[in-house]
Amino acid sequence: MRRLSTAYAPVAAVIVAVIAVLVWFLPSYYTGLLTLIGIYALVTIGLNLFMGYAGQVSLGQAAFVGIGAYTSAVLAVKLHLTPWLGAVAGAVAAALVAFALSFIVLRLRENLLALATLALGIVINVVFNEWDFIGGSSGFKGIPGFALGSFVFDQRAYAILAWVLVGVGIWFAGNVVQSTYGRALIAVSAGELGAQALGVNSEGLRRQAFVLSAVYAGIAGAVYASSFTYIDPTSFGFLLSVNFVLMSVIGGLRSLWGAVIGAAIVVALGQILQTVIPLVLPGARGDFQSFFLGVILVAMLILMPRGLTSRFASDGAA
Amino acid sequence: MTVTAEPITLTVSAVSMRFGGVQALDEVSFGARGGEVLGVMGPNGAGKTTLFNIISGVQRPTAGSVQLGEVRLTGRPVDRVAALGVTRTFQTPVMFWGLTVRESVCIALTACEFGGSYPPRADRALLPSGLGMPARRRADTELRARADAMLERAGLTHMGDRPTESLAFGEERLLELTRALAVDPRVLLLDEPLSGLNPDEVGEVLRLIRGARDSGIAVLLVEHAVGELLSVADRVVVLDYGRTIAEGPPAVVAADPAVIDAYIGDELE
Repeated sequence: MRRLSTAYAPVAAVIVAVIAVLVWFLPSYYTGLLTLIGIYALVTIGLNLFMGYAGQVSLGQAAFVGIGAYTSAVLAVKLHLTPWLGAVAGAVAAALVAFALSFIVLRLRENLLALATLALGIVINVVFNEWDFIGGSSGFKGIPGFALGSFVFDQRAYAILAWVLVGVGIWFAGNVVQSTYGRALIAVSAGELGAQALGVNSEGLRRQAFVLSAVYAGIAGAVYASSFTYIDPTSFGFLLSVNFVLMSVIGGLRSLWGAVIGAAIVVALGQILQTVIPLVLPGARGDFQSFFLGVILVAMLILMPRGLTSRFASDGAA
Repeated sequence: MTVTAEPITLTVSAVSMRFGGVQALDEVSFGARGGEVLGVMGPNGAGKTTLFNIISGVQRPTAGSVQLGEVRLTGRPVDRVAALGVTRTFQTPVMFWGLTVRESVCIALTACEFGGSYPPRADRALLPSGLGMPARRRADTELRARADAMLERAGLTHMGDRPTESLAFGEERLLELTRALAVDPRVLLLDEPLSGLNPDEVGEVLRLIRGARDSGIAVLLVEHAVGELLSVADRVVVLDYGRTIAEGPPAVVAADPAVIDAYIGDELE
């Protein structure tokens, strides 16, 4: 009998079904938030494979979301390619960039790896900003939506799409972490030299996990671009990368459900802070939101380093 | 015993290692055959662990080289050396915390499954695992069964589900040795595998070492428990201050005045 926390596919299916019903009753504002949570959860599931299981850190994940978003948007606007293929292309583009960058950044460990991924995220964002072909600082407007036959996706459909992808993403990642492959990721993060002495190429393993995390981010980016119909470089900045780490840490690094819970909490907190901060600190600007999220991140790392899900479930070693 | 009929598996040629002003190893040369236990003796600081680090690719020698058959190992990273058939254990066992005992052994078995090196290309392990393909699931199930069989052989029966965090020190040593044997190596380097063990566990490890030798593995054994080392070794190399001071059958080496001198000198310090 498998525990609920490791029955990834059935639980994911139930969540998707609930959301598919829920969107018919929610005000459109909340449907939009639900879509955003789904998109962020997808990124964080991929990030957890790299951070939680392989024991690495990435402070540049927003860049891969951006690469997915821009790839899909450019192909849709300039070449009239359907976003379905755009999402595939976005995932491939993000994967290729991650693969190339991995030869530089994955030689580094811990703090240096964090700094290197942070720097790469910023550099990629500069490219978004300066490259006129992809809109430069003014970004891309009027990005075509997903469609099935003659049905062009509305807000409800995007919420369902995002969460179907979360379901598929959690099914795939769940299979990975429950396989010998996932155990190897943990082995390398727990005792690298010991694993290497058995023939495990730790750098190769980390590279695959890094590229896989970029695939998740790239697909999420393509959905983001089409559902919001507008992207610009600020959508994929450093703060978004920090938020992904925050979602990861809050939910629990070595937990796939934690990624979903973390994404929901961070998005909800953002909304609450947006309402509460002006009441408490009149005249405060948006930066204060990041400030408070930062405080929460530090508090989490000190008080609950294994995340919220560590209290009621762990789906590392089943 | 027909030890000499076996060709030399591992060749250490004039290996020197200098750390700043310290000459840790000075032109050390010897060979090890499949199917023999080669004891590596020497007082503290003689360079034994440095020698193992150089053979296994953890460190690069200042001069000299190590070869497995005709293949040069020197300059290759640890996982490549392992993929070619040379694995090792550590003075302090390296555990994979977060995994169970069985899962730890499965890591070794899956590396072996893919020709000694893991991971293979993404389409051979990552994607089949993620997509839950039946062939991959079956392969994983098979790995678990084989891991249990190996654990049983090491006297770790029924410990498969134990988290590695919960193991006692002696169990860690036995698990690490089981992992190393699971990659089906040609050369096995054991760095003080008996230290910290109770008499039962010492017997268990010695039994596994003899079993490995009988299956044709070249076992290199660094051990401070001289009595046990001399009882299990077919041949002994003695290092002192980074130099080989004696080499030969245990009985001959144990009676060598230079060896006795080195050990007594060590005790007087």
